[in-house]
Amino acid sequence: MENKYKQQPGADPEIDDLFRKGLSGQQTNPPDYVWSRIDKKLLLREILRFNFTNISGKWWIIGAATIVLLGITGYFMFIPGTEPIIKVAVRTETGIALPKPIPSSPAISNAAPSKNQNHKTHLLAPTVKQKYPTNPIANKTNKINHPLLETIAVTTTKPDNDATMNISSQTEIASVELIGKSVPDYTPAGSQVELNLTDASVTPIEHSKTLTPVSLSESKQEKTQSPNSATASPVIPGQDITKSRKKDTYFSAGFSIQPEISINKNNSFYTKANYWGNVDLGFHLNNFSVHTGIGLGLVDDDGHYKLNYQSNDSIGYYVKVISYTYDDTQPGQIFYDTIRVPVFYSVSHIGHNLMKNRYTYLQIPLLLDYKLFETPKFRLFIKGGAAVSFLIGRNEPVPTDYYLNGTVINIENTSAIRKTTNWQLLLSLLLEYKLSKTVGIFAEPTYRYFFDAIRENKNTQVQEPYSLGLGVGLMLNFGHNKYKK
Amino acid sequence: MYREDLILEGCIAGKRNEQGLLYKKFAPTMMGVCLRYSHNREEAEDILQEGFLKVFQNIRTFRKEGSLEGWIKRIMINHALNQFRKNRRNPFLENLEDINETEILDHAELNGSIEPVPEETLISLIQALPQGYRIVFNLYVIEENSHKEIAETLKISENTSKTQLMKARRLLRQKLLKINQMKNTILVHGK
Repeated sequence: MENKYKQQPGADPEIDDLFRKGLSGQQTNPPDYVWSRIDKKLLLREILRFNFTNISGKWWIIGAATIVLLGITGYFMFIPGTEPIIKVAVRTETGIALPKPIPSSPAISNAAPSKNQNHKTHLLAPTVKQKYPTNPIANKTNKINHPLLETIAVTTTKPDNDATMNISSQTEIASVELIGKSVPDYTPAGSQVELNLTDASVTPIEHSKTLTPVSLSESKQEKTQSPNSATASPVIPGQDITKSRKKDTYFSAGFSIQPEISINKNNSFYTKANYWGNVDLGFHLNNFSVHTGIGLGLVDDDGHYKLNYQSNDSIGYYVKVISYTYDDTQPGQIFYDTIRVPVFYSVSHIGHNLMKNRYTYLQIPLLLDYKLFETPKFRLFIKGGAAVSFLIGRNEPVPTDYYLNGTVINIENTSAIRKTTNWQLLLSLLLEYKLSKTVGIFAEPTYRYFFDAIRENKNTQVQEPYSLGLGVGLMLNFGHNKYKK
Repeated sequence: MYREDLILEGCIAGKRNEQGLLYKKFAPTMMGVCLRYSHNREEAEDILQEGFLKVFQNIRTFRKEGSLEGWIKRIMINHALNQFRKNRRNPFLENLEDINETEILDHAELNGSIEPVPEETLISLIQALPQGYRIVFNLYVIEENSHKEIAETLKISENTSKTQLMKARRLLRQKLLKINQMKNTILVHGK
């Protein structure tokens, strides 16, 4: 043996055998945190490499509905035409002395300008809900950029900034008559003529009738055929002299805690309490808003374990003789002192254990909400949307400690296994009490509908579980941008 | 408790629970493999972690022609080898500088019988080997690859593989003999 190494230069079977036998089947338990790291990386991969081709039709429908909902919301929020605009139009009733037609406008290129004549101008404004001032013509001069008159200075009124506008139709608000006002007969094309109506006779009209603007070409054609006609001439399309655009945008941040009870209608055993901590970020535009954020949920569940273990149990006893005596007076009889000695043997057991498992979820919601009403102190929102939650942590203690007097052969986890990703529909009502302009407290009852079972165990699977919760928290509103143009 | 084919199906479907079961089933064995190829325990844990991520990433490519354990082990070893390649350009050259040649080539010290030692000692002896020695020794002795296969895998010559193996054996023998001597000394003094 000693010379083995020298006899076989380069080879050393003794060393080879020692290491091969010692290490080929060697097992070492890695620390628990290795799996935790792997688990987190797998979750991250799952999120980053989300495979859209695996999405079922149901999810495509939900996605499409969400996009449509967002689109509709965006339309109402961001299309300028939908903002309240006060329009004032000018209508001529008689042959107004018009400046020379603007060459760029073919429809009026052949217009024959009239001489100084009396003419009447109607100022049109939208219907307003608030009562109009007695004299709607204020001492303000606004300029109308008009394709025919180029520039006309009129005096009209602007409704109160805070008035609630109803843009259902255009209504005449005043009749302005210019008698004998001279307007240059032959103004060079492209030049500007200013008609000052401040000295004109102004007669307020209280919602006399609704006028529909017509095209400029029609107006000119009629005017050419009957220049002195006293009948109502076509209305020139409304021109904006007072444009009020009201937008109220701001951001909000909500911090809340939300106890929740997830209900399993088929098996009350699986009806459990959850606790959520949520941070919500919202962008508000008028009555609508979009919300997202992040939530951390702590969920308790039952862990079921079936343990096969062996313990050294007493299976009976035998009687041991400690001593014996005999009495000469009683021949043939022996008296024994005995004790009972228990007999122990290794016995297999199957135990069922109930443990408390704890799970942590990360939730990302996307919600739309609409402000149902607002008072100086309260606001009520209705919210709806989707949320996805990821299982990011699990603590499932194994009940080995309970069997210290025995040897555990194996442990079978028969718990209902929680899924790692859950999609939900969220609906809630949020009532906010405003402590100040920027700070409020709120209560938010929430209904959460799970699109799929949250556990994978077929015995306890409920396809359509739901939960009810009540969130309470603090709301911060900031970045207000309320303006008028 | 769990059937391997069911676990495999679940892993292919990307189910985390089955991935966890697969890990629980093979992690102890693979940790043993990683310990042999690494310099210390921390390095072994990193190899194990990244190796299992590769397993889950590529589990669809497992053809079920061989054993799942063998396939996972191959991934672990390949990952370990890749790590070594990344960390050092040519571990087989660098190692030569690290070794005290006179220490290895002193044949007189290498005579003596080797007594069995615990697994932990064997692992620590392998981990203490220079990187190139360790890789070749593992591949040849434990994985039972030929020098030709080792040369192809590591892109080195067969002679380099043989030399590395020889030096690894000598170093191990030397250290084992020292351990024996120390053990005997303790026993003598103990008496």
